Amino acid sequence: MAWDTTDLTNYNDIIVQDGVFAYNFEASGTIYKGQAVALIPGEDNTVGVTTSVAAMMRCIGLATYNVTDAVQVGIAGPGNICYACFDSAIAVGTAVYATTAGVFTSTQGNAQRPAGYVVSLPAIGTTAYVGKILLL
Amino acid sequence: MTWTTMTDPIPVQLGVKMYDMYASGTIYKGQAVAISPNLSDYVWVPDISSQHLFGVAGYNATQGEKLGVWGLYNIVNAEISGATSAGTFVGTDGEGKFSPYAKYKDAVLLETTTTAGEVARVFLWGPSGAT
Repeated sequence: MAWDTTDLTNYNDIIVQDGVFAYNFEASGTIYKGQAVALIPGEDNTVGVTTSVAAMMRCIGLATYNVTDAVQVGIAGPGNICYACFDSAIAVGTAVYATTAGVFTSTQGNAQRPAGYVVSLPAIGTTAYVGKILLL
Repeated sequence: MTWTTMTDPIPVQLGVKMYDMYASGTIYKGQAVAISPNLSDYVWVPDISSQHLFGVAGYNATQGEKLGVWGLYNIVNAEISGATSAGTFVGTDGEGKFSPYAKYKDAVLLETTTTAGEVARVFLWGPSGAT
């Protein structure tokens, strides 16, 4: 599924329980609040949503606000519980993987590492399912 | 090659507090350390590349001294074993540096390096980040 900007607009703060501080990185391309982002291979201190599944295996967390290319972005990283978008109502406790749209799925692609565990059952929004995730 | 003294500050972006441990053997600021086998609350610089990462030493310490360690979920400056591209998963190399050839790659490099012993930013991710 593609990224939809509407389903997380009612959530002022993506972070539900902050275990660790947000990290600052430079954005590669436009990133929306709540999108899962990955480290971009070969680019220093840069994160983004890419079209590469292999790159998304480096999912380091969620963007905490909207940014455009080359702007600094705060990333809620591993150890935080956040609101996130899922591609379906994935059962609590399931390991999930970041997709190239910035949402999470239970389908592992290309030997991806799990990016988190589902903490609350995602409920359908306008087009995406919104629930809580523990980021790994 | 051997360890080169680091002059850079170690912490870059802090995620969690520094851990208070003890040094097993001499440990230099910036060296990657692991839990010392069979020694409670001690860390050491493993002489092989097949131990999981615990963190990076915050300052110099000798055998038995208290040692502050920046642990997982911190972004730190550390030494890299050789030319390595940003985004590469790395682990301890047996000398206190980070290498892409370690058995357990518990960290990821955030900046590209071109020479052995170069200092670069590393995100200490833990086993969940390894591939």
